Amino acid sequence: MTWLARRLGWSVLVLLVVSAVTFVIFFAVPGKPAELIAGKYASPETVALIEKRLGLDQPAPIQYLRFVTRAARGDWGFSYVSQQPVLSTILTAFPPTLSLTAGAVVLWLMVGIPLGVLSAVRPRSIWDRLATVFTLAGISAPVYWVGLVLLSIFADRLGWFPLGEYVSIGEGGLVAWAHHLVLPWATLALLYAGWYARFTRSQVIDVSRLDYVRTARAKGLSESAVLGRHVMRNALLPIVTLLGIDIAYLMGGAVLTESVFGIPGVGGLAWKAIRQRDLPMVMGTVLFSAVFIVSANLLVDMAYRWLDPRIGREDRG
Amino acid sequence: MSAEPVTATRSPASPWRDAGRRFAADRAAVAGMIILGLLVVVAVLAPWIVRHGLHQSAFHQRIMDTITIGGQRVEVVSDLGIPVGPNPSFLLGADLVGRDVLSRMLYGARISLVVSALGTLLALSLGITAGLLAGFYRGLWDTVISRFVDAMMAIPVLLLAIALAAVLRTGSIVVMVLILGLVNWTSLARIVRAEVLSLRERDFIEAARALGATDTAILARHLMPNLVGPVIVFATLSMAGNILLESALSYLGVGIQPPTPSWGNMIQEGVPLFNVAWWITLFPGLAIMLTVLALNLVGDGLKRAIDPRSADPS
Amino acid sequence: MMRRLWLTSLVLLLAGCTQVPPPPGFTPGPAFDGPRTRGGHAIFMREEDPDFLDPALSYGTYTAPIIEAVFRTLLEYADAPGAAGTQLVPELAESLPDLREGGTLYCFKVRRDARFSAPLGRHVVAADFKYAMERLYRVGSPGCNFYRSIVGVPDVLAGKDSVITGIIARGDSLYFRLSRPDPIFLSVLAMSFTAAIPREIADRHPNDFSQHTVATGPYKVAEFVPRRRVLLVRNPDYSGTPAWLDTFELKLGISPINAIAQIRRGQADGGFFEIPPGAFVRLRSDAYWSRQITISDGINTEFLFMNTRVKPFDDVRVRQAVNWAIDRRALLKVYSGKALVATEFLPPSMPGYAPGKSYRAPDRERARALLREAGYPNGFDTRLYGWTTEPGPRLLTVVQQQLAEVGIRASLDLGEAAGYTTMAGNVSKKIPFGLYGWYADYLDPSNFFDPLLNGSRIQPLNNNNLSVFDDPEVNAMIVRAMSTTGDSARFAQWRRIDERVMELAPVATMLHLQESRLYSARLGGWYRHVTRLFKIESLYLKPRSTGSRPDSAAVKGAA
Repeated sequence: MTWLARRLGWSVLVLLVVSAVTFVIFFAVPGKPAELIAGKYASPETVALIEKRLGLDQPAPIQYLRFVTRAARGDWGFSYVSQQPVLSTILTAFPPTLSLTAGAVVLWLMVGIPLGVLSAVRPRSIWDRLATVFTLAGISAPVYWVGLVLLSIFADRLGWFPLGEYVSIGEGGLVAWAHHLVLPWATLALLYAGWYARFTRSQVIDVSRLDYVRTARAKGLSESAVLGRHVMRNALLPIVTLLGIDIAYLMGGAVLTESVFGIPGVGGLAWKAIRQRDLPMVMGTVLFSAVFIVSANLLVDMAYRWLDPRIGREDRG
Repeated sequence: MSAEPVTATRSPASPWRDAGRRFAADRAAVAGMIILGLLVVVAVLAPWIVRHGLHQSAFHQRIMDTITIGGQRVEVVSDLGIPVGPNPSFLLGADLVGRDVLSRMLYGARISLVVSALGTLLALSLGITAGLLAGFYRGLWDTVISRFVDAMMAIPVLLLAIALAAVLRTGSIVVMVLILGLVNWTSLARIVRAEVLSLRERDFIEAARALGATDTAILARHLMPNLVGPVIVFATLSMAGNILLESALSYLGVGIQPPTPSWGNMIQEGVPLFNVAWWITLFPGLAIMLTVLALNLVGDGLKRAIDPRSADPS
Repeated sequence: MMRRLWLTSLVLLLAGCTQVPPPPGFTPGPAFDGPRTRGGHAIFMREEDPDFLDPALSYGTYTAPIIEAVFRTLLEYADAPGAAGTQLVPELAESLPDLREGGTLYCFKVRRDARFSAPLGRHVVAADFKYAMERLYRVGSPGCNFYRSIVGVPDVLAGKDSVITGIIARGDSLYFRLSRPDPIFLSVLAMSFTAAIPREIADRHPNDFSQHTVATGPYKVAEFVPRRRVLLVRNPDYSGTPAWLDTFELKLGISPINAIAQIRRGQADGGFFEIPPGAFVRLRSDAYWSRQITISDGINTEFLFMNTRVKPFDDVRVRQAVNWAIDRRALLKVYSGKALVATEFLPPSMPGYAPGKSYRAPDRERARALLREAGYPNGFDTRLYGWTTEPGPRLLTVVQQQLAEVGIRASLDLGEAAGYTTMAGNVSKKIPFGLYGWYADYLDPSNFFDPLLNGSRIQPLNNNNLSVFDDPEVNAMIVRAMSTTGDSARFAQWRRIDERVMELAPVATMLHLQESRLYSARLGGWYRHVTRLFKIESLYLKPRSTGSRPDSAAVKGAA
């Protein structure tokens, strides 16, 4: 329990550092929010008025403290631009992000894992080589470019899919929702399927070399039984761990995929906020994704500790 | 079973020679190396290739030019702003202001390769220093560095890079190198720290310390050589990642600024016309893919060569 | 109905006396083409969000149609295409104001049936206008500087006072006392900044008024979800002619290419975006869709500023050389031909416009000769600043090539648009040479010359006179023109100023951008309003019979 308490403490500290780093970067950025709001006729007086209204006239450390104390109470402030509460804006951007991630995860697992197993079981076969080419292409192609190519072929030329836009299930029903997301899913999944196939392949190969697998094989178990009962069970844990962390990262939004397909997710929100110097929204989106990443790491650590009590000792140093 | 005696009789230099031999026998890795070598040659020779064979379009107006295709006079860029596609004068077509896409891609190769390589070097120096400090001295060093690394890794890479790009403003090569370096060092710091932590418990370090070796001597003589393998592999793969990141930033308009061509900003310029003048976006994208692919092949090959027990049995 | 008849007669009247020719390339669009029916839902699209739904803070060009449909001021521009759209008519005021005391006291009476939308639903009184104006200076509105001529505003702006003494509200009577006669006062009063705002709502939502709007116009905001949509519904409490459409939806985050495809498929009706070049080519060659395109004057000038306090641009010959070096026709291609060559500072739809006399075609010999005379026989090196938003980089790349041909070696320095104006507007940074563009806020030449080229308007920060051009003669001419009250005399003066400015060449004008739009065939009432861009309340759906071509199959391989 003390381990958990300390680990939680570290996580909070990490989030504090994240917010401080973001704050420092923000104040170093040229182009003050007040000047953008003041428009083309801005006079020093107008800029001063806006800074006073937004509390930007205070010294940066005071602003930071004020932000932290408010955020801790659950008040993330209002966007300087849309004037919506930050938290509710992020929460409206979350379903698109979740939709994009969910579909892509299913797709990349369905493609990546079988591909990885296949090429691990039959190394150097034609299947292994084809899989290698596919996965290498997947991880080497710029994701936004893949999106553009898919849009150009399947949306613009063939007209099978829309040219972007997000339609929620509530607005257009399940079919329209999925129809609008097929290309973004494919784009994102191509990249991750490549990584997962590679990772699965190396895991499976590593596990197959372990002694107990050799023993199982020596006992005369069939190859598929060895694979199913011994290899996959052990290879899956690291894959699930990786998946958890990747999903956590994607909760912060896939900026490029979102921007190519016009999906109003968390990533695009953050990108827009940076461009507009919308400080509360920048802080909100960065912390929102950081919370996911930090918690995913915490969960992974907890899982490993629970599965392998020896890890505890090393961590104490 | 047979591995034991071989290890015992190894001379100190031979692991590297073995690795070299394994790498040379790895066809995929060699293929990657050849592609990479060709890219470097093309990038270095770009000014000469362009001067003799292709258009020099950096400082000449081409937007009003006309060329002859199949006996017909054609404007390089039409009145409505549509450039000519691939043809004998413009092998991969012209871009929106009438420049030759192929020539710009050759120049773009220089930018992309140099920026990613220097970015990787910066990440290496930062990451190794931080990792060594944290792993070797532990204590407060470790706590501060590790928490900072944790925090940096909790900010999505692309957002961090975009924010840094906004701070540093000009999209010059130096700035891009800074951004790539600042964004990438954290994962290496973690790798090095973990490596050092496991090494420092080993007998030979204990022995060296017992013999009165200074910290620097231990670092230089015993730790660094053992770090070379993982660092080289990291460097190749991180360079691949840097090429993608640079192109993504340029695509979002916060990377290398025009008129300096980078593959990413070439794609970005073509986006409004991606469904008509497809050649502007297609070819630079293929170039990125090919380069990253080659780097990945080399990186995988290095990993297999340095640590033969890793994933691939070959 | 009354209002429309009256408007028509106004149009005729105007057509009879002023005879302003339509600008070249201006297609008015079918504004009044057939029977109108009330009802229906139209869908428009746009990629970027509106900036604010607060009339005090919004300054986005394409937020304006929404703001103006929801928030009304005392006056409004006539709902008519062409020059008739410059005519001010009473809106929430009962009539045009009485001018007293030598044109320094404006007396308005608020319409008795003017009301805020439900659930507030109360009568709009003069105090709501006074409150709205004072609020501008509390929130730091981009419009703060337009109202300096009202007595008391300079004190409020300086923070010495929070009450504008020159605005007096008594019941429905509203008085504006000016410190000097101001011929464009009614134009600035018609800007949305002055729209009536209920104190009880605005005070309760100091940071999120955009989410709690109260309408005084033909529409009210039913929903505003950033990056998703703005939904307007007809405001039953509006005192003027009710809007035709029941609802107007602005979908956000739709790229222009996607938007065009949706209009072609009959899923949407229009949008606030430029038709992308690829689609433009296809639509123009299509007999059906070419009729649904409209191209109009953007009332804009894109130019290069040259800092007259920095070498070598302190020499008028160098600045003229830059003007002669630029091939403006080549720049047209960057905008797919949707622009006009600019050899004068004022855009064609601006009263006082006259085509420039010099620089119609590039003259490289002359440019080189001027550089030689100025002491730069081998040209010079400089830095050309600009922003990274397309097509800025492409435009400047071509300019860079053109300058190189006369020996001016300009390296490009492009930054994020957000920081650009702040940087360029900081006089101490001495930015020598850069890109700037200006869109009209209201149709008076003073809106171009006064902020951009009047030397006495130079301020150390957020400066708009980026050339830091301070010519006593031109300054005096601008001041004189601004206080001349007769329209034709005024415009003649502006024409002379334009000529003089182009001789002194603090700027190298390049293009006047045009706007291109695509609308569905079932939509009527769209036209480019000369001051308001777009009036949502004049949109209506045509009866079904007006055969719109179902284009779902045809879209394959197009869009």
